[in-house]
Amino acid sequence: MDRLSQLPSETLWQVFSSIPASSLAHLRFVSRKMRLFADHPMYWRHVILARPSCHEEDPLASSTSMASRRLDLWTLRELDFILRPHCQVIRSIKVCGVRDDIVRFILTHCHELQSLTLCGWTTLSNHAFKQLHPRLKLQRLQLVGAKDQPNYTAMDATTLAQLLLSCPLQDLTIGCQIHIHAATLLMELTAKKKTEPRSAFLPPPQLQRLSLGTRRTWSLHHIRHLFDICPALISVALCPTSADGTHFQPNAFIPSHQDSHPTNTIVYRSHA
Amino acid sequence: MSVRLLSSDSEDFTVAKEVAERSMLIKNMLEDVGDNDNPIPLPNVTAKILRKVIEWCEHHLGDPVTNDENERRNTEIDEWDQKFMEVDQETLFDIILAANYLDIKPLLDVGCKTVANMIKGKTAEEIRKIFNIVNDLTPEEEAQIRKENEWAEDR
Repeated sequence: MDRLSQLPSETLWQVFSSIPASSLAHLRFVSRKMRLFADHPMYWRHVILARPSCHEEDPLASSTSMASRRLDLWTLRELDFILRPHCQVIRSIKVCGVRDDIVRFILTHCHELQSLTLCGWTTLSNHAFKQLHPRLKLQRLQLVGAKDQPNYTAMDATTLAQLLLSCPLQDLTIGCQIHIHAATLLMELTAKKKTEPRSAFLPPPQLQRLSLGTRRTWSLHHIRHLFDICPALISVALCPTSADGTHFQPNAFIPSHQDSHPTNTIVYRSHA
Repeated sequence: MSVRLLSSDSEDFTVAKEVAERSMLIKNMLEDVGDNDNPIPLPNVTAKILRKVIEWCEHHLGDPVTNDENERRNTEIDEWDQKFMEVDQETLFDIILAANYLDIKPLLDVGCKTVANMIKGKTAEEIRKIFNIVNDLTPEEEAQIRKENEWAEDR
């Protein structure tokens, strides 16, 4: 037998733990033993997907000509190839370089997903967030713009409200340019609860922390209203200049984003 | 203070105690036997590999010891280590096995990461070629795996 397959199991585990998901996806075709290791759920609970062109430690701060660097995006086909066999076990995904169809694929297929971090895209729209797995368990969603990229997210208040009402989101950070119309969001959150018979069964938004990369249209009474609607809400942070991508470290899972707000952020906290 | 180490092919090495103690196995042995002049036999390590391992331990003598698994796992191989690991595959795997046996975790890390780097970005066929792995999957099993990965155009 070859030397690699002959390594003691615990050493082979260690080798595999340094191999990115994109390469594990190829290893599963190599041999029985490699497949046994490459498919082990241990490597698939928390998936980090950085493009090869992204710098390993900090994909967003490597080159000097950042503004001119074209963001390298995954194609749906590549992502599908990597993730599809493991959709059932994935609990968290951190992915750099996404498009609408990729976000939609993740949200419709990985229904055990609890945490999703998106970093770097050219445009994201409502289409990314409209189709959700009916039993999606998503608790944390972070959209972190890549540095010196446009990173515009055309997610509107209606779609955001839908997202909040259909999965148990506790922690939502949209740290990129976004325009969420405050009054519309509040209206959607309350209207859906009252009018749609189906949504009578929907739990109230379980949101605890909200960070938005906008301040436009938000005033104090909107914030108060939001605290009223979301009983679990602890803090709301409005940070118009958070689109700098500094939150994203591909090799580490962020425990909480709460301590790293940019300077001109306004943070509102619940009195409770 | 120095320590004598005896390779599996009976070559006698004299190294500084703090160099030898990068190996947790040797460190524990020294604590058990106390000071004496007898060489420590290392029946699993040849002179060729032991020389490499000692070279590594000498270079990394001043390194802070980190017990943080994650921190170790997430640091990239430094330039010196990369050069150090530019050896043929047989030697590479022998170093990994020696690091495992001698319980030198940072060296084991470097070895494992070197192997991981050889795998990154390669196709299944390329990986088989690099490591000389025999594909023992039956055509049925392969078909099954492909099916799991199958791309559906309907999205």
